[in-house]
Amino acid sequence: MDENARLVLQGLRQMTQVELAALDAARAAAQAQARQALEQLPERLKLAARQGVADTDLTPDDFAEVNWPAAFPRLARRVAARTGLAAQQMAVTLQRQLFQQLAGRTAMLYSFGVAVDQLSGALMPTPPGGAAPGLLSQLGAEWARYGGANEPLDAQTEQLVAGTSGRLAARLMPPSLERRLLSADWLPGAPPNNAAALRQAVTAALDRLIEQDLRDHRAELELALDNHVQLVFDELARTLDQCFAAARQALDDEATQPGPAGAGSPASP
Amino acid sequence: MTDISSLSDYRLLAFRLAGDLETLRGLADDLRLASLVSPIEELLARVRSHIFSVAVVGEFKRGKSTFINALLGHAILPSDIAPASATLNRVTYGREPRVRVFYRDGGSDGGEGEPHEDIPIGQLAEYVTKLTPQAEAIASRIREAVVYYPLPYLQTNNLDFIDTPGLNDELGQTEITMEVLGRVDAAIMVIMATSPFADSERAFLERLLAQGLGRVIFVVTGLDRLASAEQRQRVLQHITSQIGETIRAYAAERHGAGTPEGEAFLRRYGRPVVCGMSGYQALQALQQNSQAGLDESGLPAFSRVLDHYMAYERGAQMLLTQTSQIVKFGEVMLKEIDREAAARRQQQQQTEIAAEVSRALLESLRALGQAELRRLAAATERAKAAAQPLAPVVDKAAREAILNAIGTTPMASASLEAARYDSFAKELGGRLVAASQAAAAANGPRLLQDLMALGRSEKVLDARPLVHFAINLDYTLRFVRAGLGGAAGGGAGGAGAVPSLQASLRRQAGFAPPKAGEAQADLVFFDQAAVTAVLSLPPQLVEAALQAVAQPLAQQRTSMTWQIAESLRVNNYRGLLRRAMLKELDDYYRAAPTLPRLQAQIQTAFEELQKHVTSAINAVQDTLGELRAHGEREAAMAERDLDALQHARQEVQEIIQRATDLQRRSEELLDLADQLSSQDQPAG
Repeated sequence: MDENARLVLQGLRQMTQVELAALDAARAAAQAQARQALEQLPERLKLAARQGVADTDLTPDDFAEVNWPAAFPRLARRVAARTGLAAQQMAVTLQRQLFQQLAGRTAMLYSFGVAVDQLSGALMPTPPGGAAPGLLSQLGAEWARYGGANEPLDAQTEQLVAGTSGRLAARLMPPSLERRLLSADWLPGAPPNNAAALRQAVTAALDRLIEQDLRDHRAELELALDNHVQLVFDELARTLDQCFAAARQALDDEATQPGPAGAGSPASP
Repeated sequence: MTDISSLSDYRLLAFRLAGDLETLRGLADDLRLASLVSPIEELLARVRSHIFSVAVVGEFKRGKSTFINALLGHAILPSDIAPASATLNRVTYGREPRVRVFYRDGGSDGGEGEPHEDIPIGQLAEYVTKLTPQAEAIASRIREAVVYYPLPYLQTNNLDFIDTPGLNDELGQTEITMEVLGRVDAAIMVIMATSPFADSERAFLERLLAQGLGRVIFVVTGLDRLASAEQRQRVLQHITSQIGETIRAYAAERHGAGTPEGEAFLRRYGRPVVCGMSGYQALQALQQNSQAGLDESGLPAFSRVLDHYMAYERGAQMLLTQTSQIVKFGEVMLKEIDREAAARRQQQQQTEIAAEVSRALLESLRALGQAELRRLAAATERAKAAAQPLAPVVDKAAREAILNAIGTTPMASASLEAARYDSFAKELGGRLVAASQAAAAANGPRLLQDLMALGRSEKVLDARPLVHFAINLDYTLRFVRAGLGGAAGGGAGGAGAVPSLQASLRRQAGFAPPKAGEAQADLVFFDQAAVTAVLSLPPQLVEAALQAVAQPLAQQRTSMTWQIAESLRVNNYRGLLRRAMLKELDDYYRAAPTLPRLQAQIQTAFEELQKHVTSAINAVQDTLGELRAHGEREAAMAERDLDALQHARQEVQEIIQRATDLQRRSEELLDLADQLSSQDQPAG
């Protein structure tokens, strides 16, 4: 292997380091972005709860002491459904942002793969598909998985976003909150006997309940979000680790090839 | 400069020392040695002011402050039975009694220079002691308190006393004391008669010796607490012998027993001056104006020792401490210069490696680009050859389309009558032109499809290498330019200044990069509109054919057949028009055959691609040039920096040499002072 080829390999290794560092930085940025979104969660859930209250059709008869026990579950279910939906929407938005970030990163990684493939291929022209035959297609597949260069995301990626945001949604709407919404213990005393007053009292109680619950679970939520982002990145990192390992191995194999580059070098399998 | 006679001219020496210190000060700035700047400035101030600084040191509760008060004849410094002093307190001459405290960071004054505050002398205890938690909190922020006092003794002798916090009280305060030892000319070590010469005091004396402050005056305080004169004498002797033993042990360890250096050391430091004294008793006697009490306190005897010291040793001792400090500064600086030079060399080496790596990457890219150019040249020929069998096919299709239109366009025989024919021919002409255009629009994409299918199956026409080259070029150029400092951002993804080949190809040549993860990429070397334009027949062709049938049609109208066979009129007309059209088409294809035009179009399209690749290679070439220029600049800068460091090193070495020379002369002068004063040596 001549001096020039050795230096090119060194350059490719440096590129690998840069990409790994950039991936790590992207993960940190995604986690920060997710935490920032978390700030909006209480308001979003409160707004959804209010919509749930407004949507529930209550007649004056429902407030009669005898009817209220039957009317309340209807209200609670509607509020729980609305807040659950808001959490779901937020989870999808977060997941979509995350995918877009990953798409940006994987696009660069795809370019990196192309560079590794072509430059190392140029050093030793015989192996089909360059130094790391699997690298480029794997990186390309990762890129496609997160939506590629498509903006907005294509239907297939949107489907993936929706499919993978369920667990996150469950985190954003803590089970404790849902349980408490469905139990009657958040209602302030006996229901006032008119719809407007009841709605006002219910809204205020819900605001308190949501704020309290999210405050109680704040640390848990932050951790869950961090972990969620970490998991997605881990998955990408695992694939990349394999790609990088394959690329490095191929590069190192080339580096140890005797003789000048491309002259009688045996083809890689 | 360094002979004994010139040593006597201390002012000239001080001037030269100040010059050297200024050089060191400038170098400390250049080398960003912030920690050296302030000590150098302090020494510079001392050299310029000719003030002789004496530190009073010792363990806590040894009565250091009381001793200074007694020496000055006034209870200036706060003294207490609890460990009192928490700061460095410098007592210096001033016309009015006042105190200025200097803070470590920020103070109530916030005026010019170092943050400081002026306070009445009566409030000193509230600032520099640990008597109350509040005072202790303030003291912790103070670097030094300077007590100005109108004492003629201080003025006449240009002398400062520095009261230090007690050793072994708190680690931080011990460090304050140790740090100040490097900045004083002499030390008085205070030892308590009731707890004479502890191990910690022995260790401290060793540190004093190591600091070059060997000519310490030892003061044993609290002698008045001992019952008898005999007991006092015994304690003094014991302490003197302990000190002597410590100095001898140190000399043996440092220079080796019996060596000339060891002997010289012992000659200079081996006869310690130990005075017994009670500061408290002296202060009381002074207040009561009792000469007997004063004599008993030991103060007059100590004053004589101090006067003797000031008369015989002061100048040489000052030079010795100052030059020792200069040597120390110089040595730190040499180390820093060497470290900086090594770092610079390493950095230069790394820059060179990075530049080499970048150069190799660019050379490799250039080779790839040139290979792409060669491939595109071959691809042009292959595409042109591929067009050869395709051209007659599309020609035939166009011919069939137009003939088919002639055959299928509805015609009424009445339309062929002379009166109505013109408008009929116009309408028919429009239909035929439309049919010809429709054929071109259908054949163009088909031709493209055929060529692209060929591209997928034949290596030379495969678009992927070019697509990958474009991606690789953008990525690698960004990476290299990021190293040159021309791009920023995550990974190699920063925006580079070089135009993107991908973007150029996409914008100007209808280039389609592969979709994410797609292995396949089609080389679309010209777009559909261009192909359609090549295949489109000129509308005049139809016009000419219609014109050509006008004459035979007029002849037919006068013939018998026209009169009797109305049903044959249209068929005859279609036949006439078909023949005329075929003739026009033959003439047209003969004059402007499709294949060369198609090939010319292919040639143009490939040339366009080659132009982009050439400009990409030029961008690589430019970056290589930039890299070379950058490397030359960096190398020149590194060379200049290393030269400057080498020059600085030489300067520092010369300064150290001068200071060492002076140090040696000062020591000789001290030896001489010893000899001259041996007859007049006051009792210890």
